[in-house]
Amino acid sequence: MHKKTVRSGYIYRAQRRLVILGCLTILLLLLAGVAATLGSYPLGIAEVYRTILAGPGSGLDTEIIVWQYRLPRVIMAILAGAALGFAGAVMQGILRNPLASPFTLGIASAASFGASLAIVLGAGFAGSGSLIVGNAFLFTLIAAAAVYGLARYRGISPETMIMAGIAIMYLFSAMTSFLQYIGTSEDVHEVVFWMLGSLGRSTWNTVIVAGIILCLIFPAFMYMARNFNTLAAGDEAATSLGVPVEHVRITGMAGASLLTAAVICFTGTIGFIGLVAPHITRMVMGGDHRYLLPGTALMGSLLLLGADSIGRTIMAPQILPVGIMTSFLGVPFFIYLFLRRRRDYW
Amino acid sequence: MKNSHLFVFWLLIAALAFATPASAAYENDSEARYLISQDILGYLRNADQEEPTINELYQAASLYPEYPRSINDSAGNTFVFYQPVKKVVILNNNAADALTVIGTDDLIVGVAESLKENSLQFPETSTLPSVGKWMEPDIEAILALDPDLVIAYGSWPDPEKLETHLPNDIPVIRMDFYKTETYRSEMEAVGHLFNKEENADEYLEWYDHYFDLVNERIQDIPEEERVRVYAEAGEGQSFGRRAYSTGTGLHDLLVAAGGVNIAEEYIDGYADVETEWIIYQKPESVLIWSGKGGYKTDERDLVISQYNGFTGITGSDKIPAVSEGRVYVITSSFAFGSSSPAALVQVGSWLYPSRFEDIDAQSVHEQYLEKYTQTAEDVWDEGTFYYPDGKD
Repeated sequence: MHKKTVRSGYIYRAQRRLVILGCLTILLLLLAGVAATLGSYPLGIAEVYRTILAGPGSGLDTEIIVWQYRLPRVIMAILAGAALGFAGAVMQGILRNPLASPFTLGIASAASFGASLAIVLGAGFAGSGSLIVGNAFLFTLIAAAAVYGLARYRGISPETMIMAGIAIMYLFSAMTSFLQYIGTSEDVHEVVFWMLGSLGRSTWNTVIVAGIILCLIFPAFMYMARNFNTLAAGDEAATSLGVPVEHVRITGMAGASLLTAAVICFTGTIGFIGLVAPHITRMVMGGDHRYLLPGTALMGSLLLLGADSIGRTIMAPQILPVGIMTSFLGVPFFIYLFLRRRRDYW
Repeated sequence: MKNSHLFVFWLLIAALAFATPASAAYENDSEARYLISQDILGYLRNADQEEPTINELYQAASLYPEYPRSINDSAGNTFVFYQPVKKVVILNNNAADALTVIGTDDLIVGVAESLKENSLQFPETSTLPSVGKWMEPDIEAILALDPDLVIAYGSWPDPEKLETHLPNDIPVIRMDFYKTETYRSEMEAVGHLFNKEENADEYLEWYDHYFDLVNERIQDIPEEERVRVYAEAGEGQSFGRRAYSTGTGLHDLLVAAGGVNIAEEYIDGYADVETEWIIYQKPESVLIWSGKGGYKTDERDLVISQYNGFTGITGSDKIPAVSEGRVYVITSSFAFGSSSPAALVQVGSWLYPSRFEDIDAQSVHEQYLEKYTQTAEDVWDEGTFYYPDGKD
């Protein structure tokens, strides 16, 4: 009898989570559909969808507006939100820390430093046309490697990785501040705006690169979702259940860093999503990573696409930086959920 | 009344009285009389006051009627100088430009770090000691130069980073020297301060001549026939297209040249805008501001890339300014400051070529360079002040 109750409870929770995932997906599709119709060029809804259905190269006057400006931006918002949310959820899971995110672990600070290096000194690892992108990408991975190296020296554990991450974050933040100090006012301006994040430079090329990396990492992490769940019980318990704890932790960090790098090198450091999207999702549908990971990806996409859509229409034709809008939109929602929860969700 | 007070009082009265017949020739006479009388009365009322000191009054008396003299800065402060300024520290590069125009750049003893990069525009001034960044001045470096005066931008650096740390005998004058609405009064003020009124007046005559000329040419153009201009700072490396509107120097320049800024009713200052909005607005001309180029001979490619950055955007063929070849890049070292009359003529001839057919905008600029700067003869050929400029 008891066994039956547990099983039916499990099925009920699983079905409930699948329904939530379905709702989030529908909501995201609806929002994307609306976002494509928003913009400073006055186009009717029917006109936008006629252009989308006609496909690229249709020769319609509206083709450029819809296919070259709006759709890449909307799709990049979905991909970037998914990647950042996903990376945050993985980091929080493997480090068992609610404050872990690409930002608190120094990954984003390293990307900012790489971009600043390109902006202020014109130095970097890529050709001049993609110096900022190349630097941001590489420094993100360098930071992840540094966190890993430092943590490994002391023994890989959530505590050592977080401590190493914080040290790396402060180091790169200080180096970015130094570059801002020696840079011209125009340089400082550029750096500040890069750090606020923007989806304005999205093109089909950036969409394809970010999309490929997301498509490669997402299935791998879904495959590892059960291991992430087991890690929540502690390293000893996970080891006794046959989970290669260190391997999972290192792979998780590397994948999450790569995902973050693939996005923020094109968009700048869009904050908040990686930290809060996992929390919001966890509050709504629990901590089972098999559901949490896709849920966080959808929640991150919703938050970022919503924030960007509001940011580019609320004061049109002016665009408000998406990094500011994500906080304006997400924080009240997060606080609302946080205050309404009666038990500890983490 | 103490004996020393009586001494000062009679000394100054005597100086004023004896100097009166000769003073008629000095423009500063009435101001000096007024200031010195105020100071004498102030001193007699309160001998412990910090300013002016008895020494300052004594010096002023001996220099009367040329001193004291007062000026107002753009922050609304009034400064009284009891003797000639001999050493000036410049935190504002545009101020170095202004002092060069009136011929007092030899008084500059220290400059902001950024000016030292402009060796082609300021061949001699750029060799002077640095006093730190214009936003973050090095107070010790300023004190080490023992200047009589510091000139800084109207709003930068914050007074807490500058005035708060300097002694009272080193006043900080706040002047921008790039804003159209204050430029004239600032030039007049520094002309008066440095006793170079003639030079300042002569320059302002040149300045007014071209502003008036452009105004005459465009004033009868009906509003609906004025050229619709999109002004921007080009595409940054980290942000999208940044439109410039009211309250910016670029907006003032294009409006003075008879253009209508398409962003005027939407934006105050500057803001990022969607490219699709620019396409929808169909501007007839595009004016791109560049902080690169100018006197710097190695930055021509950067200026050209800003031009190409606009003309190459997706859908640019739907923008009349692009299809008709009316996209222009204008550099800050040309557009603002003392060369602004030449820039105004240039922008006017871009927007309304038929109305400026008889004026060679390039020669106005060359005339400016020759007359009011210390630059080399071939600076126009070597630099990139705007683009396209017909050099390639």
